[in-house]
Amino acid sequence: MRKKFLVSAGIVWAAATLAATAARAQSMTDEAQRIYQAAHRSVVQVQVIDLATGKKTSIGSGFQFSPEGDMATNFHVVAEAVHAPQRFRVEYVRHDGLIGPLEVRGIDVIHDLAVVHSPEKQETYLLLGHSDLSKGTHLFSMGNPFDLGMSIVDGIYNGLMEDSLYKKILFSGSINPGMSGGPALDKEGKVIGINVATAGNEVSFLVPVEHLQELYGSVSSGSSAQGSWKEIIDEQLVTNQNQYMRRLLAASWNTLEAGEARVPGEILDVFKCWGKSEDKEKQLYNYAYIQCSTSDNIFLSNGFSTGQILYKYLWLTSKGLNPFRFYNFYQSRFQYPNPYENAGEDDVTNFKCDNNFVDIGGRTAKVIWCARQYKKFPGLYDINFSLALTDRPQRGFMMEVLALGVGKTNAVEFVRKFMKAVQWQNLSSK
Amino acid sequence: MAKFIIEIIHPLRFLREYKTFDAPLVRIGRGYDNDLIVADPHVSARHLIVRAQGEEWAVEDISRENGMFVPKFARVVEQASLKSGDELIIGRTRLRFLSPEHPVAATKLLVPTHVFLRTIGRPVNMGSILIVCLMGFAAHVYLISVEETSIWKLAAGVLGFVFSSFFWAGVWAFIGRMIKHKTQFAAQSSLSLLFVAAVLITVNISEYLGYWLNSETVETVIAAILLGGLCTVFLIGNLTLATNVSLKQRIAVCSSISIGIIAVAALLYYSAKDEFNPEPAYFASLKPPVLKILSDRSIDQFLAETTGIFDFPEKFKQPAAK
Repeated sequence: MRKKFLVSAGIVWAAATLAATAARAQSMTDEAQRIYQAAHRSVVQVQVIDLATGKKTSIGSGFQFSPEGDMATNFHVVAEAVHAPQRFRVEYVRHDGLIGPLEVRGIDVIHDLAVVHSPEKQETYLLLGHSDLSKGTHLFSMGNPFDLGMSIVDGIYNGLMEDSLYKKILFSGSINPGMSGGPALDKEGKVIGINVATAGNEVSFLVPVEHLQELYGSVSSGSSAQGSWKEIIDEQLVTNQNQYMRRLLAASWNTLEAGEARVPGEILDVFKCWGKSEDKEKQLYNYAYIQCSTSDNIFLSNGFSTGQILYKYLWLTSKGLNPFRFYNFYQSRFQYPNPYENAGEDDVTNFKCDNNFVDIGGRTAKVIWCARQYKKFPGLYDINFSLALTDRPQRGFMMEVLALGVGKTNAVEFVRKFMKAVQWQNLSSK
Repeated sequence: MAKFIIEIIHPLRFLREYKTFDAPLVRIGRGYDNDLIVADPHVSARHLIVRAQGEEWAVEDISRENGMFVPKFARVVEQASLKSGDELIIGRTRLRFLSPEHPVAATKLLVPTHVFLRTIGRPVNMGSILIVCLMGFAAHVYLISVEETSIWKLAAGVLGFVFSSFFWAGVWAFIGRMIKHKTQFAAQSSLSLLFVAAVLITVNISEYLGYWLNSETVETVIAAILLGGLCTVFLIGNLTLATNVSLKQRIAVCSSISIGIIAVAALLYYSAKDEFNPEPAYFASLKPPVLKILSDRSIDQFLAETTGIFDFPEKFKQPAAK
């Protein structure tokens, strides 16, 4: 009886949803049709061709935005050709199947953008608009998902991401692999963003069009065309980390409590913290765990990304373990660093570490401090800073700070500020 | 030199039987008409004739069928001239020729073992050592566990140490039985138990030193030196109990074994180690606050002293243009 009810209720619900979707879809489809007709001549598929095999190794989308034949796409679409131009070439495929060569003119690795140039001028191009829309505005994204054919997708503008240093537009629509670099258009057909990434389930991200205008400005004025791509990427990364590190170091950090420690909390509004604690009857210890990070990730090449900052705290208390047993457990938790999956052997050196006992706000802690260098960008390092409180027999506090792709001075100052920010409650008790 | 002795030696090198002779000519074989009757089916009925010739014996194979192997020459011969102490093999039997004036090397067998080895070899002392070690092992197993430990878990951990000690002792007892005809299992067990206990103490000492001095290298080097020394000393003990090797040789053999073990371990470690490690391999040792040797650094001091972690070899700074 109960089952039947559920089934019929399900049918009613489904019918209602279908009716609503159909009504919305009717108006949407017409609008999408109009936009597609207007824009599809300006949107292309971008292919990176491996010269050794003559076949494409990666695909994306792109669109023409100037009468001179300049097109925009994502840096990650053409990254292989940028890093190894002797092994790859870039091509576009037009709506009518026409294939032509593309030349990379300018890149912005921080915002994942590239300006490419086609020697043959196309008959149409898209106008660039502005991305400061109000939440709920309908947008249309175009591109060629999975190499299946040029498609248009509708979705909704949902403002800028909150937990990021490099704000991207949150787009509630389905962007899929292959659509990267395609345009997102408002209903006037103006570009307001560039497709870049998806988190699945209609959570997708667009690069605001203003960054493309900035990049195009520097490309057309010729100010960014000096040096090899490697030097340009290096300069962009160094400048970028200098900027956000200056922001981080200048900000007054708010704090949070981790056990008896007062530690830096969400040090900029873009950092988000998550917490968890455990007190199981069978375990002889309690713990509280907090992790803070941004969701930033700068793509450099396959298997190599940078730009993330992450820090985490662990407060441990013994529940009947004597100091020797407690410290064995404490050590086992201290031994495993955060996994580093952002770079491979070709990109970075091994970590180099040093350690010592340091007075942190009046208490003794064992501090471990490691760095590894980027082989292609020797001014940049990934750092790992770990600390464990060692003057309480049955209490433990651990802190780990990771920053990817930072300069030496910035890294040292950042860690100095972190250590100096730590304070303890009931400092007198040992 | 008419008077002489022929010994029949067991394949495992102990003396099976011997006979004295006082004659210029001695016959050896399986038959009843021999002076020395050898109960070995691979020996001929009339196999050898031994003639005394001054300081030596001329031995002749008269059987012409089963042969005579002289280890000294490492081949089968028909005639041989043997000195006191020489051996020969007929069939499956090993014979040794000795003159009564032969210098006796065996006096060193009578040298008493060291007083320490005799003491730990007494059953009552071995019992006490076993009990003390059991307590030590139990304490160790208890202290390294971080969960509720039942008595069974403790016992299982302790038995691991005890069984490995007894196994080691058993091996040396067997060697002793073979070479010296003395098992001395009690002494060997005491020695092995003490060795395992000493290893645990040593490892802990080196861990603490490394922790206090902030150096994994210090920990590894101290551990390698102390463990190598321990291994040498205890192996010398095992060898003293089980064999008759001279002290000089014992020291040479045992220290080279210890150094060999450490060298092989180091080699295996470095050959198995990946060249690239994506994670920082840091020295994350933590010990309870019982003693402090060095004073804390201040934050600024620490950061000033550790700038070396940013120094990487020049070759990464300018990658070769492709």
